[in-house]
Amino acid sequence: MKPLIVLLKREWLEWQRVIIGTILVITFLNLLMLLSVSRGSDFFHSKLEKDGHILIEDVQFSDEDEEFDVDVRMKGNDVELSIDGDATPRSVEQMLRKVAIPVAFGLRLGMMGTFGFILFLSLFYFSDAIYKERADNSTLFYRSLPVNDHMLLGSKIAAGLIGVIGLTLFLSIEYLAFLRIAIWIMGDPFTSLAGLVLNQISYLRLIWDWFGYLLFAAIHMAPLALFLMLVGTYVKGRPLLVGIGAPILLSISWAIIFQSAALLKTIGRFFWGFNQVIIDQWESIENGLETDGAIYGNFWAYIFNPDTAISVLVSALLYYGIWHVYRKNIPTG
Amino acid sequence: MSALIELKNVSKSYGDFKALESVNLEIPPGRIVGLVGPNGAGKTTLLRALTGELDYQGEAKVLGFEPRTHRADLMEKTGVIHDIAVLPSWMKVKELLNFLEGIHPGFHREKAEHFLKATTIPMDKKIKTLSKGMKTQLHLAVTLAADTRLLILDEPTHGLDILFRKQLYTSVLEDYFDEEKSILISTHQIEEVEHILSDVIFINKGKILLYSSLEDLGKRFTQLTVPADQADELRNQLKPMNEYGILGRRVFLLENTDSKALVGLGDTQTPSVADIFVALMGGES
Repeated sequence: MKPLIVLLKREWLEWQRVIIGTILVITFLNLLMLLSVSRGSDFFHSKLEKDGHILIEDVQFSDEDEEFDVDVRMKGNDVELSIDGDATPRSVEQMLRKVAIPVAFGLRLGMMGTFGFILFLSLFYFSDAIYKERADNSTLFYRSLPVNDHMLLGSKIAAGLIGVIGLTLFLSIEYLAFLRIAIWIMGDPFTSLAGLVLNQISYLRLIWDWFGYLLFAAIHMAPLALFLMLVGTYVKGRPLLVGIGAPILLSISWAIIFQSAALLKTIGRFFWGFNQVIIDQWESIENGLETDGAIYGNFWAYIFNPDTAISVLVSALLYYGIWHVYRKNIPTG
Repeated sequence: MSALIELKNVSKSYGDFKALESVNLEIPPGRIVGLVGPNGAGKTTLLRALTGELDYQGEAKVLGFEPRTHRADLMEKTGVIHDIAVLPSWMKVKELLNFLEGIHPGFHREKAEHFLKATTIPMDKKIKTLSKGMKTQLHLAVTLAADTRLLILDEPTHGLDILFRKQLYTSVLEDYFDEEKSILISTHQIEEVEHILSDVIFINKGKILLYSSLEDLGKRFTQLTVPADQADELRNQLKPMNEYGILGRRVFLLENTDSKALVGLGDTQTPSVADIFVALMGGES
């Protein structure tokens, strides 16, 4: 276990500048958001002073049993809910949940954006993970140490996985914290209104939900990561360009030669899968609001499905390829 | 005592090219062995096979381990220095020591720091900013600081100036070597290491041409310097392996010749390893 921790620490030392740089950039963007919110707050407060109220939400609710219209407006320092229709307490609760869902989903979309950014960065990591070692000949050094190849390669894959999930979670939690600060800056009645929605959301549950999604996405994207690593074990230069460019070129050539976009579609469908679950969850949330879980989505269930099994299988084959080529230590020059 | 290195019919091919051909070797502890051969002779291939970095055919045991399947176990007791700079260039010197302290059970940090104190290598500089000589010194320091039984040096002085070369071999002898350990040094500059070797292996075209102790070499080969006007007659009589001219005299290299029979024919000397190497290579090339 100790060698693995030391090797993970080595990855941290090598990549800490990129990680800290990313955190600083995202924090800077969050600070810009706070500045915009502060300016927006001044605008809304002056409008509130001028008009006496602001309409925030106009929700029409109807099903077989009941039909009503709810206006959520801010008046002075209060939030006013006006219900026009025959609403039962259960319906009001559902209505509030309906308002909460887009907020919860918006939070998840913030996390998705962060994840997309980190995923983009991780492409550089995985394509360079072995290539950089080969370029400075340090593969020979690492292989002259009492550590087996699986530990060396496993530490790189684990570092990538921990890095992508850990950094995304960290930045997402930071985003949540900045969001709370933004709401606090807005002041009442905005703070009270946001409280109506945000108090329904369990942050712990939301973070657990994100973690499930990130784990699913990481498994789903593992073939791409390992493919880039494999490319990095034998190309003479520019592993990312070759790793991304070659499959695209192959797919386009296939499409032109065989007049079939099947390969392009298959690759696209497979890699879109990590995004498709978000869309599926969005639709299922819109269609059914009966359970608490509906607000957050249920991503853990996706981990045990055929697509993930295929990902794991393809990843295992790619890993074998990486191990096989890594032992040859093909020089870059 | 059992051999540290045992090779039986070890071969390695790259396509049609045979980099190693049926190599048989047995190196006991307490030896400093020079692996000598021209460029492309198979020296690095042999060393990489010994350290488990290459697949090969045949049987190999190094410190009792099969190198390919037990590389990690083998490396716990083996130090390796390559002919090129291989330390991770992005690491700082102190980070390298921290890393080795965590990953190598036999690494002694104090020892490495002690070796480094004798150099001008700064602890907080990145390895990529060090000169080539400093990188070799650093690699040597961390390699010698590990508790190992076998040291493999693959052209360790390649590209270094004469001061660094001298220092390197002095350090290896003073700070590392004892009768329990062995050192295998690959080089094509035999003059540089001849004085520290106990044994020598000549390799060319993937084949071992000779494996002998220096003591036996001295008994087996003789160098005879004769006047030029007697050279033709003596050449026919003695059948030298090799000869060359120097200051109007001819120098013969003789194998398995009774030294008593040479008395009065000219000046006899023990030939240098380089001369024997040239003679043997001449026949091979």
